[in-house]
Amino acid sequence: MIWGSQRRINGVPIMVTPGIHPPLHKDETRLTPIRPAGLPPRLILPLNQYDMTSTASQVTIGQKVLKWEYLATPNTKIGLPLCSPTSGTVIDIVEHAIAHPSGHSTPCIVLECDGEDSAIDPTPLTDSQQDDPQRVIEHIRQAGIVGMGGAGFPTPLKMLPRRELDYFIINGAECEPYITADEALMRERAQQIMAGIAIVARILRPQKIIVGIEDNKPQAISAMHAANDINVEIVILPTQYPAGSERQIIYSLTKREVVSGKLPIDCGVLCHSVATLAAIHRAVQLGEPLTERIVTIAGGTVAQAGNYDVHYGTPVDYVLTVAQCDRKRITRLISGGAMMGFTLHNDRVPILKTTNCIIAADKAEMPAPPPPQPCIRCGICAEVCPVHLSPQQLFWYAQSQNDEELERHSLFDCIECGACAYVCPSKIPLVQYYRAAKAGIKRKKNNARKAEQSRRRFEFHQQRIQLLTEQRDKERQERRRSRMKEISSTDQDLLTQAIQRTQTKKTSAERNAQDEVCD
Amino acid sequence: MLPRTSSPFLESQHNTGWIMRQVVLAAIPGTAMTIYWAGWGVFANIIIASLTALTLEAIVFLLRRRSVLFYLSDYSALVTALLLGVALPGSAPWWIAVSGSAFAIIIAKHLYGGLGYNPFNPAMAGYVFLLISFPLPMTQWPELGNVDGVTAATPLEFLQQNTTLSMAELWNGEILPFGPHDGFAWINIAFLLGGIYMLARKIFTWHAPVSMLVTLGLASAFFYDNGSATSQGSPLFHWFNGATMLGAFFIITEPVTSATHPLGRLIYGTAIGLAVFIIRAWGTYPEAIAFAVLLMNFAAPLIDRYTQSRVYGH
Repeated sequence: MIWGSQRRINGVPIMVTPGIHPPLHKDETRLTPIRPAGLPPRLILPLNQYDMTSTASQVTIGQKVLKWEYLATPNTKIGLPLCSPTSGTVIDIVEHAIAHPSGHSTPCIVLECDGEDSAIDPTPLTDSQQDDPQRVIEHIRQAGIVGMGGAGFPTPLKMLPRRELDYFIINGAECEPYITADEALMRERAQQIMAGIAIVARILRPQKIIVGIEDNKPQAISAMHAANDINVEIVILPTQYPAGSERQIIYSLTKREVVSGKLPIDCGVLCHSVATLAAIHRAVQLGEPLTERIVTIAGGTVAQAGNYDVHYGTPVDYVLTVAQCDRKRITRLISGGAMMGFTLHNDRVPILKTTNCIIAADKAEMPAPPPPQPCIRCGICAEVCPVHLSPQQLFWYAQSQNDEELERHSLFDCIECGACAYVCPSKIPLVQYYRAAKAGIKRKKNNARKAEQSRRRFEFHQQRIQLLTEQRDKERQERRRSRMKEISSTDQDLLTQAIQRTQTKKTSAERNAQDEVCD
Repeated sequence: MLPRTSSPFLESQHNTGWIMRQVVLAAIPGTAMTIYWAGWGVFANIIIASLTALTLEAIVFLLRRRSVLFYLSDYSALVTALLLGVALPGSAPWWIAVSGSAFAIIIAKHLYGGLGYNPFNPAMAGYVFLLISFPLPMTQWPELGNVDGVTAATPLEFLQQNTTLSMAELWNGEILPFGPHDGFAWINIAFLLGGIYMLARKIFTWHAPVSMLVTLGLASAFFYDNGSATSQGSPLFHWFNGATMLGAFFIITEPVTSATHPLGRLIYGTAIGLAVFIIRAWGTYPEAIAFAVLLMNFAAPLIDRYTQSRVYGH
């Protein structure tokens, strides 16, 4: 069965998965040059950025640090270190809210910037050193590079060659409304991306390298073509959300489907975002760790909307001030895009390595969501689902918490792109239901696993105790038996002696008693 | 503190009320044509059915302690009443429209949980309720185009009762006269136009209506028997008679009670087309849409279960 539908871009056929065409709101930010956001007075640097990469602080309060100096080292083998984005003084290590859907707090290093931005010497790799995969990967690890497209998966982990690489996909689709950070990067710094592609290609030796860019970014496409001195294929994708989602872009560019529950590398494909590749270039060839990124600041309340170079750890309120945001008018503050981002309830959280966009929306732009109406099973959601799920069925089963049917209907293949909720005429927050259902099932499974573990532990404990008692009983019996034997072997002698002893005792006692009577 | 909501933060312009309003809009030509041919009695039926439906819907929401205005604004009760009213004979007494509408709204819709939870198409459930309970007023259609209220057999009834005349004799030499006197054909053409409008506005997909009409056409072509006395009528006859187009575009496309996947909708439409032909040809009731739809409403969940799309990566 052919999956997806065929489109033609400039006469070239391309297969695309289903999707939607929401208003993109990109014109406000896409054509402005990248501007530096500058240094805020303080940076807030979370020690636990992501689940996998918690770090242990290496600095003490009051310590002066230089730019790019290590502030924290990873607790796990796969973790990444934390480098200082600028020079200054560590003034606190304290729990602070971070940009996370849950709004939770985590230990953060608070760095007071001294404004000098004086750095330690950069440590680039020489040309010959770039031939050694282990060395390059280790360098990327030391630079703290994570996937900058969204999930923040540690990049070094993706680079370990697990099998022959057929395709190396470079994701420049950037299909989410509002975000133009990758587009700005491609337009202004295409050489950095191409250099990054060359570094990765040199150590992983893919059969084919393809860059995918949506056709609504003509300037970025021509800039990438102009910088293309390594002859990679640049494919133009039809503008459609979510064309840039990892599994969807892989399908469009390679016609391969990543098997459910597996990683792209399992089907011979590696996918990196353009921003990650630029970061790899800067780490390997310039020796600069990843401490800043391009962030799109957009939304109706922002007067100077555009793309900014922002230091990692910069508080959101500082960036909003730089972009001349009227903060009183904000009705919703969003980290990430309008389709998959999450709301921030507080604007003092720091920008992370994965924060590609901040939307400070006003009331006209994002009014309060209307109350949902009943699902009429119109099926429009199923038509736009890029994974070919049946959102209306999932919704039905999510409401009734029918976990079995939810899994049968592939709930866990949902990429939470929000296309279904966008088109829903009844305005049902479908993705919210799926997230809750996924969390519920995971929790139940976790609980079941824990219960199973403790049951096994208990049974093992019982068994062990039983074994011990049996052994002890056995030993005791043996001891008794051997003692009996000893007794029997040491003859009657002891017995007769004992009898004699008691008899003498008796007679002497009798004599004493007689004496007393006589007295 | 800023509000915290869940993504996505954008939504499309269309809502359920918009879809239902489009359905009402698309039904206007067919309704007008029905009123033109069958008289103002049909108009009265539609008005009575609508007033009953809206009043009862409001009462139900009051009893369920829901916001009446918010739920009435989805227009679903109005669509139900319109589809029921247009299907009733113009000569039927007023209480036919009232009781049919009441059955549709209270029993077929709200007792099952309201919009989205009803397993049967409410308008068709109301229609069948009336047809079984009050067969006499429900089967007496005034002759189309005759405003004097003289009742006459419909072409479908003619055909069902006919055992001696060939098709040519039956229709005076014309298989289906699209002439100025063929009211059913004009009514069906008007509903077809409304259906094409809704297809163009993507209110529903082509699968169910097209598969139903194709199946009905194929079945009638197979049993056409060259227009002899045993013929069951030509494809054109079946397409443009009775409630075929109303059923194909306004009834079986009702999303709540039909299959949801393209393949499922094909199966659903095919089965309805086949059932319509079987009931029309060999059943006791001359018109079959309502029975065929209710029959397949039963099957829709099963069809859905076995027509899931292959999910990416599976």
